[in-house]
Amino acid sequence: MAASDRRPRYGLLLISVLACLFAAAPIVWGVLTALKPAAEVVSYPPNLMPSRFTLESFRQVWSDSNFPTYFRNSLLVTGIATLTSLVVAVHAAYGLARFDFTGKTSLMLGLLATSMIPGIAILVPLYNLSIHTGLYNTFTGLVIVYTAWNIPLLVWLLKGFFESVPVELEEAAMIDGCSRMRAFYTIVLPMARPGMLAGAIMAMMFVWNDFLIGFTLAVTEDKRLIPYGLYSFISNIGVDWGQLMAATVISLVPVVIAFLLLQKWLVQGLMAGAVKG
Amino acid sequence: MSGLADSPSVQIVPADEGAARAPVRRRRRWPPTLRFDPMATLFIAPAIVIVFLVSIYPVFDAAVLSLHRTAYAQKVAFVGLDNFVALFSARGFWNSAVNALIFTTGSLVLVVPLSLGLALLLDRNVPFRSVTRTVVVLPWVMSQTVVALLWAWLLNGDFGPLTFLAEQMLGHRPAFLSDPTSAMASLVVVNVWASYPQATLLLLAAVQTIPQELYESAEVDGAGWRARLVHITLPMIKPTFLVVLIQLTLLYFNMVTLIYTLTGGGPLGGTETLAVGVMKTSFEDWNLGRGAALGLIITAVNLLISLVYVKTLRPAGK
Amino acid sequence: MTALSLDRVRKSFRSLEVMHGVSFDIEDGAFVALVGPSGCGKSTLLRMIAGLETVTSGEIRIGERVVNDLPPKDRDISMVFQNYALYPHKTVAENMGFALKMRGVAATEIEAHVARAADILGLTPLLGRFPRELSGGQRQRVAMGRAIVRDPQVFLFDEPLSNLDAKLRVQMRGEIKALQRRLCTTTVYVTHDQIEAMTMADKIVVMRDGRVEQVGRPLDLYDRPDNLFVAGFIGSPAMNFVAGRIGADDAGSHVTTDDGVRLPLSRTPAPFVGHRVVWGVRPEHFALAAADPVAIPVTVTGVEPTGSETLVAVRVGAASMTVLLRDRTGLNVGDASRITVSPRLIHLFDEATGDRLDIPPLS
Ligand SMILES: Nc1ncnc2c1ncn2[C@@H]1O[C@H](COP(=O)(O)OP(=O)(O)OP(=O)(O)O)[C@@H](O)[C@H]1O
Ligand SMILES: [Mg+2]
Repeated sequence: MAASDRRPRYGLLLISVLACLFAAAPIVWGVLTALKPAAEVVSYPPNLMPSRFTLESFRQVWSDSNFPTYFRNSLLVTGIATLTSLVVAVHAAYGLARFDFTGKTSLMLGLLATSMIPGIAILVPLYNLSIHTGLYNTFTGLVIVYTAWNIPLLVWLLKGFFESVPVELEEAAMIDGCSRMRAFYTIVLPMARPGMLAGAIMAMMFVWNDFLIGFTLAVTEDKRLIPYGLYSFISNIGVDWGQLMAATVISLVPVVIAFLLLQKWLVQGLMAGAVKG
Repeated sequence: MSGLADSPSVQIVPADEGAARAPVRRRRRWPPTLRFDPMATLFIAPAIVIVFLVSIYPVFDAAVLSLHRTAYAQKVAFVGLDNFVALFSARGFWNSAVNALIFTTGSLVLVVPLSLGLALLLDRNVPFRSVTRTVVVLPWVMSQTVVALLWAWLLNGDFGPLTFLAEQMLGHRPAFLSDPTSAMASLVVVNVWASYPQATLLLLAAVQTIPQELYESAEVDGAGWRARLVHITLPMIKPTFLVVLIQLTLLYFNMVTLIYTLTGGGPLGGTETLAVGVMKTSFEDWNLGRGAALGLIITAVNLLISLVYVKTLRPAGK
Repeated sequence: MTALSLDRVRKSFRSLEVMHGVSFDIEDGAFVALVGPSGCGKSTLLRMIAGLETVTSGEIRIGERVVNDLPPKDRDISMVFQNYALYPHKTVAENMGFALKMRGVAATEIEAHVARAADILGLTPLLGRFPRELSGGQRQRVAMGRAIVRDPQVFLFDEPLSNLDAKLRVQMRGEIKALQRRLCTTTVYVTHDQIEAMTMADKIVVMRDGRVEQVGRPLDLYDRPDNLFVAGFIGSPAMNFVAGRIGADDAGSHVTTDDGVRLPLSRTPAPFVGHRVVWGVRPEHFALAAADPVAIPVTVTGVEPTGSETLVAVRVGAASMTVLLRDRTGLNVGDASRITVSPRLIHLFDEATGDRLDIPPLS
């Protein structure tokens, strides 16, 4: 809105500052709590700034709790599930973008419909299914469920990308000596990289942050993922808030890094969920 | 599929806007022919198989389960619609339904104007715009669990800074999470904090696609700030707005993690929504049949919500 | 020797047949232009030759081999697409070398081939760039480079110049032709621009609605079009047509239009008298002959001078015609005048079938 940009913008600046405060203050408080000496965490009235900064809480959750296990599990499951989601979705999306066959539209709509099923409604059947198939409390089970839940969005997102790649490129590659399959891997796939990055970050965020599936399917201490792990900290009697905040901060590190690196693609991913549908 | 969603979600939207696609020559086929291209089959089949097993089959399983009485996670007897009847006649169900309504509409009423305002703000050339943009969106990366823990600490009755601030203002120390009404109010605020970034980003992206010339031409026509908002911005972002509304409504209605980990549905069922009810019925009471029935009801409401939005907000003839 | 031959090639998209038995042969090293109005099946035919579309029935041979069931990569052809289809994530050199790489040619050899092709096309300074960093004309040249690097048996072009501006198009037209002369590679060139076809091709295939209307050398098509369609399609501005009936009297043979205007004709044998025909003359074959009493009387309805020539629209009875004159005329709209044409430049077509009517000269 060019016109209004001529007016003084102090009012807008003030609103911006307030908005940032609203967004950031809770996080800042959490981080400061994690950096306080244990005694100051539980003081009333609370102090904003600690008298001194200490990493004691971080050291304690990392060495005296199961948090490192949760962290490692989450890294592993997130990494593998993101990868499998991408691999499966990339192929399906290409197939749907380029091949014409009976029932394709119904298939696409069906895929869309599955993403409308609220996860909570099928948690119990998934629990039963995992027990019957022996996948209860295994990483394999988690990866399979996460992959399936990621697929609809990723397919819609990537299908759009593949459709924007001109068919002539593949035809040129086929004339240049590729088989159809090879033309896909050498020419089309590299061009869909932005789409795959967008998809990857969406999938990553989802798996890393999900509580429900982990809570239902990975229960023992050695299989627990971070969200359930953090939750189990709080339900123990006598929460150490300093340590809990430290664990929270650690759990945020990977997503914040991913967020800052991939911010640009993330909006694309979000839009895909919205507009491409 | 943000940290805020319980499951990745794709929304139906008028397919006209934005999606500029390569013109793929497609003709209506008649008579229909079945052609199996081996490569297409190979590429598409894995996705279909896995989605069928993990998302579709369980719905049928849930339907079967909802018609049974269960004990120790096993079906023991076919009971027809008893589970549904029991649900509808239980006071808890209606209490949860009302809570879900309050939670959903309360959050929507706050989030929609907030995120629209922020989107318009971030579209302006304010100083430090990119910093603001990143900071404002920060809560988006947090999982519902993390949000719940963080706010549980902020609202902590003994040491929480918000408790302290409120005490300074009210003169007595509030107990945010131990009274049903204030617990629900707190929950809505926390939910707003957690979920506005996604809506803001989407609306901002929509606002930014509006061609500058439209504003300039409207200005030449004598339209003021407000007129430009009403006659250009809002109509132009309407499709995205619809998507955001559907996304948020479903997100709130289906929300389990945030509520379950912050208040556990309490105190006294004061924050127990239908979705949280499924969680508690299934995994605390282990009444799987009834939990499945409740889950199906939620699924049905989901479909209803989407339909209502699409029917009422989508312009006719599209 | 035949480099490429098509034998009763048909193509159906599902139940719709768009190619109804196309046959023609192309000699080794020839430059063949495929022309026809939009939607007549030029691209489809080219893509069938390339192996990008299946052949419903009939046979396509490249050299001695029937290639119907060969995938594109095994046909030893290269193709230049209308939008060039350059790989956006590969540099110019990588784009040009890709086909060789797919064939497992050693890197040093690829480099040598690419360097040679780049040299021919003047692309050497651009080899390290990406397609997005090139102008339209440069992209076009890279697409050509990609095609020639491999030294294939056949080049296929699908309207390769249609994305260029008029001036560049003329320049590239010359370059492609020169390049083809130099490499002597059999070429099939699709265009809907008949001037492009006339100036570049050794042989033109005129298509309409999935059928071949005529195959021949450019000037043969111009001089002796087989039917009304080809006559109207080749040549610009298009040939004038007037329907009428052949008549003969003391003054000689003529065609009388339905509204009674007499059009000249060389002397015609008796059996043809009374036949209904379409009388056709190219605009450039008329001459102004205001003083000639037996010339065709016309009324001027429009004058468009282009500088070098003048296009005059005239009315002959109820019919309109175009006359192209080399000289400035001084004619104005509304003027009455007369035009003549040499009888040997008159084309006659059977009105019922549209086929050329070859009347043996009456000696
Ligand atoms: N994939 C397809 N499915 C169905 N019909 C098709 C397909 N491709 C082409 N056609 C039809 O086949 C006919 C020939 O098309 P083609 O593209 O070969 O025409 P063209 O001569 O190249 O036209 P232009 O000069 O416009 O490029 C057209 O009627 C077209 O509609
Ligand atoms: Mg074409």
